[in-house]
Amino acid sequence: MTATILLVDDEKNARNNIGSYLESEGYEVLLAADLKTARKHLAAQEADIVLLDVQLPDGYGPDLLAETSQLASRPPIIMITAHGKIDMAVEAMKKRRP
Amino acid sequence: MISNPSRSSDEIELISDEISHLLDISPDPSILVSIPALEILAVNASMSELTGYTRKELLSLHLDTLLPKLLSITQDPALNLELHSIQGRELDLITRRKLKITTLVQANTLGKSKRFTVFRLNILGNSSRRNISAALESSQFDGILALSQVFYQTDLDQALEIIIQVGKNMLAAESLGIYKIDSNHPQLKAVILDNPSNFLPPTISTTDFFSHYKDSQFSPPYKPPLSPLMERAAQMGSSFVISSPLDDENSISGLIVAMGPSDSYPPERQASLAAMKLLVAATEGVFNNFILNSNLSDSLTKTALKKAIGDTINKYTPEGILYLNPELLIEQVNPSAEQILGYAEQEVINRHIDDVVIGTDRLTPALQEALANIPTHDLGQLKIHHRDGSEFPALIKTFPVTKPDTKEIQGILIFVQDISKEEKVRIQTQQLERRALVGQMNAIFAHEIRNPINNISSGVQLLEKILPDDFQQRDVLKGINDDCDRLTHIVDTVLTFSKSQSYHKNPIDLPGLIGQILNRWVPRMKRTSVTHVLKVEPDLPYVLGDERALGQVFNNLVSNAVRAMEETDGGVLSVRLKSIQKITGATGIQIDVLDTGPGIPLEARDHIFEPFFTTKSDGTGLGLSITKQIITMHEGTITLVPLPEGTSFQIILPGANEEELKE
Repeated sequence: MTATILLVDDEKNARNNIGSYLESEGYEVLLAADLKTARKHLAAQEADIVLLDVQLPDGYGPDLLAETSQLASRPPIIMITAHGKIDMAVEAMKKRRP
Repeated sequence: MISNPSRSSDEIELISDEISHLLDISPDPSILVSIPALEILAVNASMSELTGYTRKELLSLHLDTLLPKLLSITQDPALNLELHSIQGRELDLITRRKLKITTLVQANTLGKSKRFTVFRLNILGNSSRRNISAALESSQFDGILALSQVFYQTDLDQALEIIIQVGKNMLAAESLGIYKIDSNHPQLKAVILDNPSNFLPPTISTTDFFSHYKDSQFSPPYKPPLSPLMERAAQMGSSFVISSPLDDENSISGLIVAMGPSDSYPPERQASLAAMKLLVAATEGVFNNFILNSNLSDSLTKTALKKAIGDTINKYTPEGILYLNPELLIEQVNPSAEQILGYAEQEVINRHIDDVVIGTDRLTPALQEALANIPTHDLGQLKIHHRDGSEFPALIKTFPVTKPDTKEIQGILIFVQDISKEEKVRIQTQQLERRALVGQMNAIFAHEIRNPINNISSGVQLLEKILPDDFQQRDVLKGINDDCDRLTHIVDTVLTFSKSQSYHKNPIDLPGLIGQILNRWVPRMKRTSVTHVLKVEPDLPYVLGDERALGQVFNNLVSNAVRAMEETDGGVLSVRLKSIQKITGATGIQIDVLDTGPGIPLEARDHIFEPFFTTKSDGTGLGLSITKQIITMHEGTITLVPLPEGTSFQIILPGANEEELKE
């Protein structure tokens, strides 16, 4: 069975490019443009892995890290951003830790 | 006397007139108020300028409108304040446009009856308005107010006594004397002396007098050649001797001499000079009119003294002043006006104003209005021409001068202020602000551009993956991708440049750091036949700095040098470090980075530190601006040394002192 990847990014072109690439690699891809949609997919336990952008129209990506810590499935989350900094990585690691 | 309670309204008017003239000399906004009626009797030009009301309007205003809190604080029993004892209160002044200006209010009472009070306002947060110190302004103002008492004296001795007391106060002198040439002996004789410790002699010989024929100020250690007056001061242990000659028409007629108490310091030179000018003006006025009229209460005297004080101010103000007659011919100009416009006084006397102040058509209507007795016209900033043809920005104001009784126009005063220096500073600030704004915009721009670049790049990568292996135009895709990488690099550099970095400063071993960087470049230098020399003088001070940032600086410079010499098929890169000592005693390191490359084109030399300026087709134009920014953040300087061949940069960084190294 192939893994399902939830891709959360508000940029349409980014969703298309990364989504198509992952599909071409044989993954199932779920797309979300905001945190609200992402939360729905997560609640339905549809995703095995999450690719999560930092700045989203309805909130701050890393906040979702703390929320997913409470979920039974606890899918691994990979943060993606064009503005990565060490501080942000440290913050993300801390948020995910229960 | 001002304390005469049976003063008629005419006399009040006379006082207002006199005082208002004196108030105009003060740069501080001031109001003369009658007590207890609280009627505004006189205001000065600064007050009118500050409030936006004309003088006439101000005279009809109620004090409450201008300073609403002034009266209420005197009615507060807790404060137990009277109007005349208000010293340094912060109060809001309400301008014509209902703006609140916080001012420091100072009351000065005239005369013993406390029937007249002058309120002087200091605008807070505007202390460096004039370059004379506040203390000087204040002591001058007090001096002017005190000297105004001379008007009301009927007796020569009393008038001189006032001058002596005011002078002692202004100069903080122990002794003060006024000497006149004795008509019977070749000597000067004291007309009046305040001399508690006998510092001053009763007579001064003419030889001694001739060593004091100019304004002078001496203080210990008195150096030869000593005049008898200075010898006497040294013997008495006086802390200073200040003297100014008195003129009578064109010849010297006397001397004012002050000596300081033994245990104090000489007054600040500018302050004492200004004080002496006022004393001389008052004394000359008093003598001239006593001899002419034998009656000081005569109004002529007041005019003469007014003129004497006015002349003094006229001579020493940095503002250019031109006095025109009603035909608009120039009658008088002060030295500042000569300097500002480039004409000597005798060249412009009797010439029409339009022949002298050239370059603006706004002056003529203002002068016509002045002739129609429409007061104070502030023309604002104008461009006018200097005699040599150069144009400069100036502030111009016009004032009609009328006869007090008939209000007939006697002439027009034009005040000209050269503001080219201020204008230069303003433009520089504007440029800096604009540059800061550009920096911010760049940061935002660079930030926003990253996502689209990412998308282009990931899109191309996707295409590379899904297109068939034999796809012909793969090189096109690679080209797009390479350009994306280049864009990302530019964006990163812009962001580094725009961010105000927080540096972690540590003691840096600069020769070690530079050595490491040079070593990194050795392989590339070998390939391009570049050799390098690192010359380090012993005993260099440490530098407090951010190792990564300073590393970037030297890496940039080495990189530029090596690349430049690659164009000329090799050369020599030399880096020299030596310690320097500034005049202030502070130590520093001077680093010279020289190469034998083609050098920087002349036309580019002025721009190399500007962001985005580059002569290379693949350069970002940010290397040297970042270098300069980092050096500036380290309180250092970097300059391009103009050499006929090659390129030479000189960097000076401050050395760390021992205390900084311990921290």
